[in-house]
Amino acid sequence: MSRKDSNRLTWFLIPIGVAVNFIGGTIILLLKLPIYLDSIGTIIVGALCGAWPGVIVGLISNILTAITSPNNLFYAPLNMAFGVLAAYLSKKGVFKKFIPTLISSLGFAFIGGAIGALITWALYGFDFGSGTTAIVVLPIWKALGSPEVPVTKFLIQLLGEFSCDLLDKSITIIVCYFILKAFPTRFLSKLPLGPIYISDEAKALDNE
Amino acid sequence: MDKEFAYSFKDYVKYGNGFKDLNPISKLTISLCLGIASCVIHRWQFGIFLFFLGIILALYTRVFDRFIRSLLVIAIPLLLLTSIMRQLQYGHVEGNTPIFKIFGWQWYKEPFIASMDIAWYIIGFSSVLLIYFLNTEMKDLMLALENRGVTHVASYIMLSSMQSIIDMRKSANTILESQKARGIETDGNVIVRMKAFFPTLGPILLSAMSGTEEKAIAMDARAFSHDGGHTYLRVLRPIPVWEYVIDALAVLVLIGSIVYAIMSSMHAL
Repeated sequence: MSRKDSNRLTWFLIPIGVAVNFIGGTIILLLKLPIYLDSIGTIIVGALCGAWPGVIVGLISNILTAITSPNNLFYAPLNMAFGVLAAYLSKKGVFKKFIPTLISSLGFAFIGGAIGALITWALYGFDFGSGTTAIVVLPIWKALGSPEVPVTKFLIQLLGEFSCDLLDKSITIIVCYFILKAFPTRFLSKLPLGPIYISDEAKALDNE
Repeated sequence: MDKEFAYSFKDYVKYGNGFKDLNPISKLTISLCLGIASCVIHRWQFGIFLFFLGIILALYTRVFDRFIRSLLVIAIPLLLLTSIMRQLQYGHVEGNTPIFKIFGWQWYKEPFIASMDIAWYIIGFSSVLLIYFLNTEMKDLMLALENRGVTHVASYIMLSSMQSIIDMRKSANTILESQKARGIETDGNVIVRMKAFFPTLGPILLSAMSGTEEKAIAMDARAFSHDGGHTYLRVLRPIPVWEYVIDALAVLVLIGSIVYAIMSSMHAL
């Protein structure tokens, strides 16, 4: 199969990735769970098709959520960065084993925390935001920080967003791990980064 | 009757409303320029102005209900939390002017205005973009972009994403109901509900993914990857001169806001 053909399948996978980002959120709402899981599609498309498709899925997801709440547009770089990280880790073969996958959620939570805190920081005039994190970080800052040192405030914000994100991202990444495992070989072989996930037994069968 | 239907495709896309009938790209330019200007100016006065502009346009284009509902979800927590956060942090800085008391809690003017600046610039930005999205069909925007030379693949990805969300939502409900009927518990504590998540998401995802391949073949059979010119069932009206003038005015507002921001920051130094 030529490179152009595998790219073509990627185009058709991007809308599915976007929809999965939304559906994760919908099911969570139906089951009344206290997490978001709104980047499963971005990570899967990033892991299977590469960085650019992942970035596109992240961007389109945020544009579509912006239809009802435009302030989500500011946070688009976050979802796009997840796509890039997913593609990078996928090329390194991280998502093939469970433990490295679980550890990689630290990376996703760090990006979520660092970029999230940076965006919040810039949006709210270099200060705390107004989300749920704010309620957690303000008392910590009151207890620890001194008003003269603005850096501590940013670090507390970063730490707050990181810890809020960690649970969400570890569950997201576990879901992604099992989904990647469940993909049929026939389909994986047609995607740019798919061959990474083809099991050794399947490869051996192919060689026979 | 049949003839009328057939000939309707020869007409330009029309909604019979002055604002709605603007070219999607012109509308986008206007909304983005005003929205970014709101971020650059960073003053509550401009935010409130955009909010009222949004209300007027929403009434004019008959989307007031949806506009105000979406906007209140953003605005109320934003206004409340930013002002409370600012009072808690900077309430006791010396030299602040007291303004009012809420249940014995003294509020001060300076942090209050700072919080209003932040909340209202985000509300202003959200207002103009909401008006844009409520008054623009995504297919018209993608058509306008295609006319300007954007590839048809971009249109497919965007429009198909929206359709896939609707389709998948339906199948998510169906699968959740059937899993319930099969005996999976969807009520109970967090762990029980979490366990129900996997058997719901899995089938949706895998069926959607495997459908992709068939879709790709079906689309190719209809010359999706052909590089030649395309025909369209929808035709956007040609852009009149006055529409370009409005666009130019919006760009001027943006440039003016940037100049204002630079001037005021230099003044502050």
